Amino acid sequence: MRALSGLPRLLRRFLSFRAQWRADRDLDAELEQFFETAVDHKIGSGLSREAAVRAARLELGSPEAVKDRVRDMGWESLRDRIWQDVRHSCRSLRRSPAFTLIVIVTLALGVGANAGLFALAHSYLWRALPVNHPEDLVAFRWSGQHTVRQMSSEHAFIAGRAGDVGGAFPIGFFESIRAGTDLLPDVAAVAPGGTFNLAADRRADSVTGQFVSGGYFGLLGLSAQSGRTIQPPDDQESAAPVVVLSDAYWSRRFARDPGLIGRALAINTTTATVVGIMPAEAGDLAQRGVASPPDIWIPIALEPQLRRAGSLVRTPGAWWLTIVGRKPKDVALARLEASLMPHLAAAVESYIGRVTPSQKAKVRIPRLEAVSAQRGISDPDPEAVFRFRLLGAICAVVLLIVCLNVSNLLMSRSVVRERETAVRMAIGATPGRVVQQWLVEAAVLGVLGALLALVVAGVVASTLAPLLFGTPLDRPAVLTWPVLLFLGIVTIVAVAAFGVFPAIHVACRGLFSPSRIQGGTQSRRQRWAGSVLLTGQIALSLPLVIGAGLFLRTLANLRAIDVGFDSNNLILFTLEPELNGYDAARAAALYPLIEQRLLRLPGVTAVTSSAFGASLLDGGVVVMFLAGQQRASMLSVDHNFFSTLRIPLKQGRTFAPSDTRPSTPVAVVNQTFARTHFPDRHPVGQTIRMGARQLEVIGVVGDAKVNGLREPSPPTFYRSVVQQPLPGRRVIVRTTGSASLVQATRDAIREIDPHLALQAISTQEDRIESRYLKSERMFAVMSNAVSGLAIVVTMIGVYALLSYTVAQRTKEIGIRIALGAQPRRILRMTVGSVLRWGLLGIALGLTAALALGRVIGSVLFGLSPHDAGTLSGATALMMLVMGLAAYFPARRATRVDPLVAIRCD
Amino acid sequence: MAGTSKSSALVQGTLDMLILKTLALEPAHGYGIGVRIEAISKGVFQVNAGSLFPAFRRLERDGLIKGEWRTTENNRRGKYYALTQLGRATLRRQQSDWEVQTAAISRILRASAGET
Repeated sequence: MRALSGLPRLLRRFLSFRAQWRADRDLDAELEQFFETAVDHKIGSGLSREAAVRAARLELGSPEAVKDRVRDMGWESLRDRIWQDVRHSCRSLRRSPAFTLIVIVTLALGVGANAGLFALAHSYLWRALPVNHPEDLVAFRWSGQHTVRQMSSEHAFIAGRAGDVGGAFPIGFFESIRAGTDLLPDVAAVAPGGTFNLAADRRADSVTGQFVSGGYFGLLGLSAQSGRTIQPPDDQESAAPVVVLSDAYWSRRFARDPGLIGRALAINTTTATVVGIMPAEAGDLAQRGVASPPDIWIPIALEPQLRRAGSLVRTPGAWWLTIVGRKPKDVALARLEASLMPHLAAAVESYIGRVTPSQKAKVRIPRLEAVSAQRGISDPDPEAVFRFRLLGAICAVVLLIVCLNVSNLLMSRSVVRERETAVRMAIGATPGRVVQQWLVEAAVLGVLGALLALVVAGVVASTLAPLLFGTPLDRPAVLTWPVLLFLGIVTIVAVAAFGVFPAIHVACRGLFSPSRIQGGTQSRRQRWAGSVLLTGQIALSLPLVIGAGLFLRTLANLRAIDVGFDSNNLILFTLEPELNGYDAARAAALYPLIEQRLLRLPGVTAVTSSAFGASLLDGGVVVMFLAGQQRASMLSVDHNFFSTLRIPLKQGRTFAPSDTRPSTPVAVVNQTFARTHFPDRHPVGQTIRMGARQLEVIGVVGDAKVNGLREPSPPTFYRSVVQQPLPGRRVIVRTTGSASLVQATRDAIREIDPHLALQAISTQEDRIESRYLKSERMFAVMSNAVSGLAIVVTMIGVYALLSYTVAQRTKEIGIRIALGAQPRRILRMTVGSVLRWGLLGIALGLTAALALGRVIGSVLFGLSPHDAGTLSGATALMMLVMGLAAYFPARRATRVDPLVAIRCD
Repeated sequence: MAGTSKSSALVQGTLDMLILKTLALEPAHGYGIGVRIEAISKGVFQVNAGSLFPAFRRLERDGLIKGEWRTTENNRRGKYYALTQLGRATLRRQQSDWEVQTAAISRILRASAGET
């Protein structure tokens, strides 16, 4: 096998000799011809043959000297020489597979992580919308103080906060600019529709929908993949009800049935005809990449039928429509704002008569702003951007560590290859040629690393996409020109960065002296350079390890947090029977029915519900009461809510089934509420004023979390859902722990009414993990992966530096041992010097971690970024790692056999 | 690098250009090129084999000229060199560079006092 594999190499060598030999022969023939032609020429000009031959010889000079000069030219072109170096590099890299593998893998991880993040940013943050001429799209925002907003619901109020902004407008404004403005001939409106109940084939689904005006798809230049889109005629109130499906929903629910177009679907209580399927790339314009596209698109004209009493089309004071337009290229945004502002003022004036005089006194028309919608209408979630930046910084540090590590390895390698280099120089290689060979070797490593980095980038991008951006619209694109360009540039910069240290080092050392063939002790400068690199590596790694510890503990703290109720073994789902045309009485009767049916399932111990709009953890409705002076969260709950969730009763009583009369409304408050509002009184029996209403406090319960895991319980009061019927409820099922009950629950509801769609059914634990711990989990996973890499790289760094130190100084160590040096002294000489630099790195790393701590302070929970336990734990871990990495080379140093060491050269 | 002669030393780096120019007129063999340079320059430049051969090799390696064995006018086999497409382009560029430079140099050399 071995002989066989050597055969091609022999053949190649033979061929190369042959080529050289042929070239030599060619040159001989040419010289001979030159000579003969010269003789002929001279005879032609009248010389005798002997004289001509003499003259020609004189002219030609020594043929051997000419041949030498030609050979000096070199037979290969630059391209040939680089190719030769590439082959030489591959051979020499194959000879040290561990070195090659470590360099390529660490480089791929460092570059790949950065390229993956870049791909994410490019896919979701920077890329223009996938529509026709996105650069011409404009969207609108309003801003201002004391502005008028939606006034249809009981608890809404006039926004009074400074700098209030929004992107939604009343329908009057949209109709007014659609009717006539020269500056914005092309304009469309879109609004989130929330969830709808969609039934087909006796199966109900909860779908997300978007209301669009007829011009929406035309404006964006999107056409249907089959059928048609929603068009301007669909804006007529008399138009036949139509619906357009997303590609994803069509696949998921109807298995891409081509016969679906033309079929009628039941949406809430209306029937609409499917007229088209949108292509997969048609997404959500408002939140590009950050949210899933809606399942269905519905004309705005259909909104009153679907929402009935809650229709916003029929509420002129509702600010709910996002407006997009296509602006002519020569029109400035400021001019557009100025020309549209009167339309907004007129739209507000037209409905302002309907509000109460006291509200009217406060009304200001907000200022209109036009913004480019090239990348989508809304700004990306600032929290996502922050998380993104943090990850970007971490990845950049990783790349830096990787560069330092590769530098260190390359430098150690250049020392080992010192002799090879010296031999090459001695037999006539120019310094340029030697440096070129090193550069080529670095480039070969870079190219291999970059190829592997592409794979890493793909994995990083597709793993992080859902963690960073919710459910993204499409898979992040890695194989695009900008990403490839970025990856290429990062690789080149990294290669240059890791190539520069060994080059400087070599230049300083005067490696080009043939005396180096001897090899021998290691110079002080070279040791110094390696140690500085190692120190940098450790100083960068330690903060990453500390960060990983902080994120892990944050996650553990959040998981262990007391939410104020027993969150284990709960199944949650949401029902909106009103969408199916249930009236209030029928809806109210539905829940006891569901309770009875579910209680029959084995494993279900209790069933309760709360109003859909507000629930524990997911946020209560914030109301102002006591003349607008105080804020509190409000939840409407069923009578057995507290017992089912195991929220302890502290004083008084909870709701009884008898608390049904609307005439004497009652409330249960939490302890924080009681402490805040009745500090010196017995809370039971007090009243809460809410506008014109008065609620009597009948009991006090323990605090339970309302706004996520992190916020402490706000002052909260509970009302009876029976006394205040609101559409939609979240049903809460207490089980004995069987996970299969999710499906059983689904089946039970279908038995009651197959047209009822269960929304968001999951266990409470899953809900907490997916909603409240997602980014924490991401940071924990990501920072642990990264710090794992940092630890491994540190180990490699310490090991490599120490091994090479020992290898280089073997002779010196041998002599010292022969002269009677104790192992302790040898250790101090080798390990001690490396570890001293390591400790300096740890000190620097700790300083950096302390300085940077406050950046991640907002992400942590339950501990400070300067947490002593985490800092000391991470430091101890780093020291342990360094000690472990130093162990084997150190043992080798103390076991040097003086006889072997001195003889080995 | 250029060969010296009784009359004049060739300016550094111009031999390649002269060879290219000679070959642009018609393909020629090694000796013929040397003779033609000498003849056209009216004997000002004489180029010896020690300079010509490395230059041929360099030009051939860089793809500017191409050698081919053919039969000469005296019924001998000789290696004839011809310009390649790349060589033609290189010559054009070098020639215009050269003209600009020599014009500038002679302006400088002819400058008299008082001129700035």
